[in-house]
Amino acid sequence: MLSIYILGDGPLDNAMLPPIIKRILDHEINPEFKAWKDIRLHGKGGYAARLKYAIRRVKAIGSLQAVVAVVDQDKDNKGTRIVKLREARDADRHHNIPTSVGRAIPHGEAWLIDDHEAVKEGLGLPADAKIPSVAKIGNPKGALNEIQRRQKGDLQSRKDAYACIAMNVQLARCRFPGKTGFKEFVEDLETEFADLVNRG
Amino acid sequence: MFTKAMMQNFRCFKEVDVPLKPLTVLIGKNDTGKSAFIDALMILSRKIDFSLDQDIYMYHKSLELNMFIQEGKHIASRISYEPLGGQRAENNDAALLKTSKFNLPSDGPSMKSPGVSDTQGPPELLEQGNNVPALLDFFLRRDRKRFFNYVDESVRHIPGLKDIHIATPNPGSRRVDLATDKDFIIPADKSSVGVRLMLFFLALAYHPEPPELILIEEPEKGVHPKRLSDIITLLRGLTTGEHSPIASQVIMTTHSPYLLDLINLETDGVLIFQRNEDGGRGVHPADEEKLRIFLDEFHLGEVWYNEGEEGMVRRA
Repeated sequence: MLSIYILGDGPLDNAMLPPIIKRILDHEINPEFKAWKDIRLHGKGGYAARLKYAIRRVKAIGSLQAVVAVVDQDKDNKGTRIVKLREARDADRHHNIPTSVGRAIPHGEAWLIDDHEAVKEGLGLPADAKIPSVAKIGNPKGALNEIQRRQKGDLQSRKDAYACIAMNVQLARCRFPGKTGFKEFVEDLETEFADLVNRG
Repeated sequence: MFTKAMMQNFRCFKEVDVPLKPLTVLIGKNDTGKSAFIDALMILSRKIDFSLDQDIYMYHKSLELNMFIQEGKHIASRISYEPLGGQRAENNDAALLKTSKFNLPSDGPSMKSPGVSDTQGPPELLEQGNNVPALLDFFLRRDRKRFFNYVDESVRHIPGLKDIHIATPNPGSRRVDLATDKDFIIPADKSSVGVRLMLFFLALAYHPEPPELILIEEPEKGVHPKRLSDIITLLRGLTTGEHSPIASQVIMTTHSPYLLDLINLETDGVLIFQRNEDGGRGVHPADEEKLRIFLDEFHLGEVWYNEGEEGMVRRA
């Protein structure tokens, strides 16, 4: 069991990231999720400072082993968020905390909707259900929510739906994983966590 | 300087054994015993007495309060009470400690006070911050250099301030007036809470005979976060005897992460107050080893805000 401190955007990331990480690592995990906005710093904001805080927290409290941090691209078209996260991780290598960083383009739902089979399996849709291509839709969040809304509605069921899809997502079935940032994330996670997974 | 406090069965505390530093900050949620701890130090300093029916943790338990000096070996002040036979014992090897507690009102200290005879020495500042005008009047008449140093430092700390006057509205009273850089003279009582608090802390810092033990409840009340560093600098100056021959010990409560940002774990102490499962309260020193992991990049107050009190102490 790997105890992982996961940083993401909110309750929906909390629902989808743990099963995605578990599936990629093929390992049981004990996740502790923290929303980016809930790490509050006086002197400096930004994702990089928050990642550095998270790395220190994992080292300090001892019961966690690693960090996974995922940002949405949103309006960050130049990709500076992920660059700064990587720089922050590199600057903190001396803490010896495995740290994987990822960028969802434009947001986490793109990772889910890009695996059409996972969406169908997760939501219990018929095999011939039409799932839009992530390459053709500008708003994967809206598209996924629309699909899910036809099934059920409130936030709790959305979280459940996200978790059910996420636990079925496979890189090999994704159609545009290079475009959504998922491929890069999977490779980063596997590289960063290789020793930890082999040990644990 | 007191180096250690030990308590048994005092109010909400079953057992306390904590180190004290020249500057020690007490943090914890509301109702976790910070003010009770301050009161215990007041009792040990003989500033207040303990009450048999209110100050003992559980009925018919024995009470013991100890303050140590010299690396925690020598008991400087002790009070104990044994309920069987109602025996009370105490000793106070150290000379009676000059102690003051300050709990400044949220609308700021008054800048009017009675005049005090010079022959009684410099007036003490009182719990609610009163007596600043009487003390400044004493400086003006008996230690003019100290008065001008006080004014110079006030001008540095308070934007728009040009000079300070001590007015005598009637023979029995004194009032602080502020001269501004626009040539207005206003009674200090008409100035902001923050200005009056700064005038108080400066007066405390410049007191020629400050208390040896200074206990302060939430010095951040009414103070802009960026001005807190000025106040901590003044309090730190008191612990080194910057303006007097006496190096005071300062123990204060706070709810401000910004104040905790200014605390240096190398030299200062941080005590964490928490509720115990049995309903009592516990006090533990901050886990310096753990916290130092954060402090290369982050402030102590940031760690407190994000981790809570439980994240500041060693895990059981």
